[in-house]
Amino acid sequence: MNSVFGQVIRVAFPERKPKGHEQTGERPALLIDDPSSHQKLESPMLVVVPITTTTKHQGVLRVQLVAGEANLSEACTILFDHITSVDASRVRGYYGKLEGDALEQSRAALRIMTKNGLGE
Amino acid sequence: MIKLKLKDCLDANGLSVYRLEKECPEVSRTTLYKLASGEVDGVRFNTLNALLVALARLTGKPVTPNDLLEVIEEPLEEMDEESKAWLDMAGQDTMQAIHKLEKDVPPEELKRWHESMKAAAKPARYVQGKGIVLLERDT
Repeated sequence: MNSVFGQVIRVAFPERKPKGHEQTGERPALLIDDPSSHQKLESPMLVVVPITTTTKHQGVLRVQLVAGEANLSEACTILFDHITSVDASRVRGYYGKLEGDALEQSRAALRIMTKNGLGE
Repeated sequence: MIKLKLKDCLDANGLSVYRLEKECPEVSRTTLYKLASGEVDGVRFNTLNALLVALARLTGKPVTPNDLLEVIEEPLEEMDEESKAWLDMAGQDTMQAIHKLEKDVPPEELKRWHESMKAAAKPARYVQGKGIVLLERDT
């Protein structure tokens, strides 16, 4: 597992903005990889997993965090079923790094999502 | 990227490459002029050490690698419009799905969550070659 995995960053996700919809595109996300750090790319992008406020949807692909983990101030859920990539210029902030059970659960969720893709 | 600032160091102390050459016989004249002009991709540790010792003797004060080397942040490569548009579409779809997941969360609670999370983040940005870099609060 690479060293960037587990960093929790703040990302300004792109949004379609319906009229009257409150701007909520900026939110925490778990950094999975920085492909341009190990392979020259045309443009830098980051592979991230968005983090949501809701904790009601559970499962192995929904890693729940309690307030305080990685300096996050609220309980939240990492949505491993919504892995995406973003332009690296969309990074706005940094919270901290996952540790312990949360890190292990995140690794397990990522393995589930990528196992066949890696030919394992 | 790391830049060698030998010329700046010499100028700041009123020294010439010729004067340094006399004090630093371990490094050839050709190498010294190349180092001073910046026409090099790197510098060997023993050369760097010889420069530091010679400059300390000439200036009468300690000279550290920080006085001769400068880390220059490489600007983030601008993503081309087409790649940006594709990535943005993927991100927009992701956000739409998240809004559906959060639709039952009361608006006041959602607002409070976002404000709290915003306050907890330290300002940072992505720097190519370095990764996530923290910024000063007032920048």
